[in-house]
Amino acid sequence: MARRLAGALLTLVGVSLLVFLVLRVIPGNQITASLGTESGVLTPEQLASLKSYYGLNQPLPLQYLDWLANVCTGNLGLSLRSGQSVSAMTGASLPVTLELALLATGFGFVLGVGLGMLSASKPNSVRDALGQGVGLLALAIPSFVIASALVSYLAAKFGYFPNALPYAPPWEDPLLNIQQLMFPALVLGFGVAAPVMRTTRSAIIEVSSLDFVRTARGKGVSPRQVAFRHILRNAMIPIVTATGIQFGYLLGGAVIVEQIFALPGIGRQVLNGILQREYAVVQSSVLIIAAAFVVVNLLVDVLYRRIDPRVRAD
Amino acid sequence: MIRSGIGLILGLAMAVTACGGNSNSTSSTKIGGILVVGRTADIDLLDPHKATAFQTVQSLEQIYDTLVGFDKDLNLIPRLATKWTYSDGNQTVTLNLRTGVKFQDGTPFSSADVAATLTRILDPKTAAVARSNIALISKVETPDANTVILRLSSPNVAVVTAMADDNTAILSAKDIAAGTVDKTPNGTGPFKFLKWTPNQQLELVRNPTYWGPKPPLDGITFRVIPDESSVVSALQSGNVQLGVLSDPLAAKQAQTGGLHIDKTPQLNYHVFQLNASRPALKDLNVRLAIACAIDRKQVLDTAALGEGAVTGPITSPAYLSDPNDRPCPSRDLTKAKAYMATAGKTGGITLDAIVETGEYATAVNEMQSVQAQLKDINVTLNVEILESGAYVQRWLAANFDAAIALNGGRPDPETMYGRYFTSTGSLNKVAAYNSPKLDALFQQGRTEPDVIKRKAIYKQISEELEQNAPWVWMFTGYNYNVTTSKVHGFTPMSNGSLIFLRETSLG
Repeated sequence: MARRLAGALLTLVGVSLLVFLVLRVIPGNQITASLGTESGVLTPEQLASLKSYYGLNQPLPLQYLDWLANVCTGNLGLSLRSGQSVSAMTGASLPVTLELALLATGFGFVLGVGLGMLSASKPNSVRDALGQGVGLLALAIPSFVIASALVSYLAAKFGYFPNALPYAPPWEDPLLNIQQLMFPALVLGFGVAAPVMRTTRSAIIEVSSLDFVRTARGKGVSPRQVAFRHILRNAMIPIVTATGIQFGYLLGGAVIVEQIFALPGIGRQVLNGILQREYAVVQSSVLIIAAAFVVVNLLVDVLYRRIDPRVRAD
Repeated sequence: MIRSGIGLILGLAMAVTACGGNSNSTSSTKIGGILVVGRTADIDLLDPHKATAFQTVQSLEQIYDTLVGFDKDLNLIPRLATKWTYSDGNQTVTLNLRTGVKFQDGTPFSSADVAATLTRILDPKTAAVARSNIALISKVETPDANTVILRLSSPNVAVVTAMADDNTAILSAKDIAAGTVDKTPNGTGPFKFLKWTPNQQLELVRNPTYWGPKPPLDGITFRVIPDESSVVSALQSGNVQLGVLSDPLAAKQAQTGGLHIDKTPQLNYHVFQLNASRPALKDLNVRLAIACAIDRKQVLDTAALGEGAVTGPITSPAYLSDPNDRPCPSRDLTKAKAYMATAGKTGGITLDAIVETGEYATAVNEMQSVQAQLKDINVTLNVEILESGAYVQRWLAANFDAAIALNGGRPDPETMYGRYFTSTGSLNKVAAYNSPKLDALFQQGRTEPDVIKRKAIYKQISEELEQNAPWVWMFTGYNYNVTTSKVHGFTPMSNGSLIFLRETSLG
């Protein structure tokens, strides 16, 4: 466990360095991002003043260490535009994305496992083609196409677009909250279902051919019990891994759906930060997303142990 | 001798029209309600002197006032200054201030606030956006609480127009001293700041102590819906009543939804910039050949679905250039080839051209259209598609032969082009063209207070630019303001301003 934690820490340091450098490699800075071509009319004094305001006058290693030291003491930095701390911004945006990712993963898991079991129950049959077809569609159609079509259809046909109202946290207005998150979760969940379905299908086909399944069938165990208790349970490790990875992706990668459904999640926070070259916002937010990804991976490991006693024994 | 400026005349005219307008509207205008405005981006800061993003300016102009303002055609009108006069050979401007005005925190407004505001903008440390436009103010005097005298380092009448810019919003001297400008907005405008939830919405409420006519709305909420087609959906659902769009595709989507769409030609212009300092483009004949070979209407149709208007250099309605007042009013390949022959370039030339991606939707399509058209006169464009930050760096360094650009327009042609096409202009390196004739014309425009005479001067400047083709002006796009049937009395403006929300009602 200690080795795993050390590895996780090293990953985070690597991520922090990478994000820091990538942001600096992108041409332009906060001044050009804010003023565009108008930055050409700044006098040298104005330029110097702005550079000092944005902290761009320090050497790069010092900027990095400064930021890292602050992060270690719990200070994630400040959005110089809004004056808000990144901690406060993330405190508001991370729960939105977490809720969305949980709902989407839950939906994707149920749909993916269901379709995978359907396909694997009779490989190369019509139902297999159906299951795989749905999975392929989910992989092939970009989420923004489904999202935009859904939003436009519901609004034009029924005048329904709850996301045009201010975002309602679940503890304030659970009914509106679920209305605002249901459709984005379905759209994202459809995307999650595809890899889960494919993993489920291959894992079930593989486990189905093992000796203990044949033995169970030979002993007269009902097909339903064989499917769920014997096959699915033993096929669960790759499925949980695939779902865990998808959940991790959603923490940072739901940005397009967050944009279309106007959800103030962490993906949008990072995107706005990049567009406005708000270095502290992007660096700290990406670090938080990376940390969340690492935690999810650790949780998946813990889940393995619960699912499969053999892992516990190892 | 003191000469009366345009302010007084316009002020009187304004008063007359305002009276007429008011008597008309009071009978039918419904008071009350919160108008929800949907737009794709949030404000990015609260300091009006540093605001560059449209959405920030559109919001802060509801809270703050400027000394002068614009009517719907961008003619100058009084605001906190009721009258302005030029004297001392146009090197002194005397501003008479409105009396009985209060800031939203209750502090009375006076000349001390104007002086503190202008001093703040002029201080390089502030990094105020409008500094370069008013940098020629050498001294601000306040002989009494209602008078401000501006001493200029050189004669200039555009300085008053520059003070209609929202980036010169008048702040309270108290807030400047306390350093609270970017934290607690406090202006003299018709709406007060209530709450900002970053990335979600900005809420304003009516200012009960506003000096002007009482705004019909109880408040305005600017809601962020990052995707333009989702803004249209929000309008269709009725949760948003006014949408600000820029994408022609989203506007087309709104057309099918029973919504009202106002299309206003923008001041911003799409242009094919030529770098006349480069060897291949030094020859006027080559530049004219390029100008004649480009079908501006076709660029507009292919790149922007025809949503816009072909334009000449000046886009401000008050000084508008005639787009056909140029050597080739429409595409003329015979003439273009003749120009190439005169330049001795019938074999053709190759140019390095840059275009940005990401900042606005039509850029790359415009470049492809121009590239295809110029092939017909053997002008080959080596196109580099650059990310916005990289593009800005190359553009500012004038490191290109040609560039597709979307440049910001201004209500006054002096502030719009003085910085590009005068030999001492701060962006003359990028424009890569100046001439003694243009310098002289701009100088005349700067010192001529008579509006009619100024218009004639800028017409000459426009012609001079077209005749020398330093750039090829192509088209202006539209601002789209989409409203539901409940919204009344909203007037859109070509500079993208939402200043008329103060006259808008919900019914």
